Amino acid sequence: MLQRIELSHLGRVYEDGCVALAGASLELRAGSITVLVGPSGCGKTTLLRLIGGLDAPTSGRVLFHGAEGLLVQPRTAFAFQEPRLLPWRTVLANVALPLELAGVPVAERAERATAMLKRVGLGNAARKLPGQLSGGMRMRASIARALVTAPQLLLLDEPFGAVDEIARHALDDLLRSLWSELGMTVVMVTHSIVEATYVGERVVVMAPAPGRIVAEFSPQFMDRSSALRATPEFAAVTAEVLRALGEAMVEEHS
Amino acid sequence: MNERSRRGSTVRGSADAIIPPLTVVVVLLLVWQGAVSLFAPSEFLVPAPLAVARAMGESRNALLAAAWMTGSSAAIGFLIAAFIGVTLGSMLAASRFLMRGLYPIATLLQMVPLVAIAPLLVVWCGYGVRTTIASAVIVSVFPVLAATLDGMRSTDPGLVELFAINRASRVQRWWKLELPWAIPSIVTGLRISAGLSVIGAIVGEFVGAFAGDQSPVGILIVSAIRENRTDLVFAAVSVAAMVGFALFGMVSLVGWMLLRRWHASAA
Repeated sequence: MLQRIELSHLGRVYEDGCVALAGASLELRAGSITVLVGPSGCGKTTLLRLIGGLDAPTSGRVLFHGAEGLLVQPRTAFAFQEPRLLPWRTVLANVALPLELAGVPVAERAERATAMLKRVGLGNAARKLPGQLSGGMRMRASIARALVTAPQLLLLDEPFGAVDEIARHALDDLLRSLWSELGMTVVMVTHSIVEATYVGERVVVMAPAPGRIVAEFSPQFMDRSSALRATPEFAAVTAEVLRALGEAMVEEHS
Repeated sequence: MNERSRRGSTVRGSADAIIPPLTVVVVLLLVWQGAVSLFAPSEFLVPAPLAVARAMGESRNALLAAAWMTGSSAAIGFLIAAFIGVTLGSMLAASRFLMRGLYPIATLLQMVPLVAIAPLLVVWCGYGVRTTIASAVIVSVFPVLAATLDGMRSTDPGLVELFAINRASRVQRWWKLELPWAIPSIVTGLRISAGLSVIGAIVGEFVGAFAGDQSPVGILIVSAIRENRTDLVFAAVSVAAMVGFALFGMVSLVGWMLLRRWHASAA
């Protein structure tokens, strides 16, 4: 059981000297949903990749329940801005891919992938190819593939950035509903302040040059339905996030 | 799109693909026939299309047997070349060391003219069908190798990362990602090799085949030239072209079947 993720003074400097991330510290509670928001180049994707073990920090540590290393790495799944589906495989076969690679028997993986497809609203698209789906449906398939292994940690890198706003709202709702149902820890990267405020129980604001964490918010809303986005309390929180981001950018330029 | 309109557009598409080249061929034949009638060159130099057709009719059994012999040598050589090309291409794509070491040598060998090394094939393989097949393999292996290598090396890095995240083994990555990803490129290489394999087989026949009750296309051409039967040479060349076209068509059909559902090149 994943209990806590601790990011301790994480830094990443690339070979060309570019400081992508400087001293980021953060503690992620198990089962929480955290959104990293900020402009391009603020290090949010770098931070996500460091958490997921896709990249190694040049300073600092990522601790899972106080320990670090591959042995304590939780079961982790990713979803990216591009759905990354194999175009020659059906949607069902794409969703079942992680199970197939892990050697799960055919019948079991078909059952689990079908169930997950139904859960994301793609029950009728199982036999279709990715090229026959809309952008929003492809993202649903990508999320289904990420969740089919029942991950303890779900990392999302601007997963809905390429879909239209209406589809994005529906996907945000789907994500929150999957999170509350399955209980995994979620870390999501976005450049949309509205999306960050709506999805995140915790919003971490980042700023560039060098990439760093500048503020944190914990939006408390009674009801997270679609109507929330039109309420004054929602507008007030997004304004606070925007202000924090603006102040950080002014500091950077001064 | 309903079934009837889909069928209608398929028929239209097929007609669009067939009618223009067929028209060009018919016009060229008419011009050729007209020019021969008008200028009346010696039949030894340029036979008329009708004379070639007549030679085809008269020697149809010999030509059919030649087409079968040359076609089967070319097809066997092509299949061996396809296997070697895809296997070597996959190995080179998997290992930077192998690619740096072997690819320049493979490219260099490709530059060696086949006609120059064909006599050596006779020394190594002896007279007969083995030399013909070896010649077909040598000439058609490189396009498949290069296409496989290019196709695999262009695999989407995002998908490679996806497989890495899911801890796929090297074999899983090759079989489930790199090979399918490279299929459009491999099919292109195979199409080129299909035509080349017939050329290779005929060059092999020129130096390494022998005449018997039935002769392959290469021997038929050499014999017809010795007998000053230019019309039969043209007929044999036409048969060789048809064999090449048939192989090309079969490869295209297999490629279409593999790609039609997901790749734009088969649309």
